[in-house]
Amino acid sequence: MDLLRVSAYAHIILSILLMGFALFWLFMEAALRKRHGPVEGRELLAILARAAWPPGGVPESLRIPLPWLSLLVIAALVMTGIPGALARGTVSPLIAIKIGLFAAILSVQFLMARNLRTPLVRINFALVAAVIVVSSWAIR
Amino acid sequence: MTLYRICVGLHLLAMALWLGHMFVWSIFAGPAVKRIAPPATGEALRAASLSGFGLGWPALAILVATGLYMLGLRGIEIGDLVSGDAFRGTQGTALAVKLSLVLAMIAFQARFGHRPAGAFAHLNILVALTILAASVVLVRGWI
Repeated sequence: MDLLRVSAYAHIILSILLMGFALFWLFMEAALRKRHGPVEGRELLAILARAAWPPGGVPESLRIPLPWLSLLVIAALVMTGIPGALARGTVSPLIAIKIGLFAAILSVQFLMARNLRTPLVRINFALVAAVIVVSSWAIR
Repeated sequence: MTLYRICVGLHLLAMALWLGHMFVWSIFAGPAVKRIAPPATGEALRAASLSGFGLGWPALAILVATGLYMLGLRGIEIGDLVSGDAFRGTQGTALAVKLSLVLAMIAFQARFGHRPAGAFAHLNILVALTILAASVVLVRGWI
């Protein structure tokens, strides 16, 4: 496998992680609200947003809060998307839409990393689902 | 919009939801939630995170249906899969690897579903990663 295929492989895995995190926050927000009510649910979600990874094996200062992991995934998605973009050469309308959705996801993720709120969690999930569908249509 | 595009979109969306759920819960969220203090809060969050929603079977149903349709568009019918004609050449080998491992994941889903699977969960993630590699070879070729 060459760089293009390896980067495509990594890009797919990272997209899966991005969707996994979007689903995680969507699911946890709904589950906590349902089980504990809106007020306590929001408090528990805030505690969850401070949970850090990896939970052991590295100093506390090097652990990354869960919402920030998504931002790292996005940075890696950009890196692994570059070889494919260079190979493609041109920006098709679908790729332009994908880049626009990606910029929106990045903005929402920054807001989520600062303050995890219900509308942001839902918008983030919808945007990630949309970018995956648009990406699937751009596959040659 | 063609039926093909709808199928590709559904196939990748189902794959991302199912595997994303598996990867994030097993590798990141699960271990992080276990360390939340005080333990009672951690347990409340853990219980909420495990309060089941069955994503595996619906995702698998979509993946199998859309996957068979897309194979059909590539000229591969169920008869070719049964006879082994579909498994010739590099991409045929990739298809054989992918389909064998998909069967393994279906078996895992049937055995464990939404229950704790211990070390098998990590093996299942490894199988999923191999399926993704085979899919890249299938779509883009080996070289």
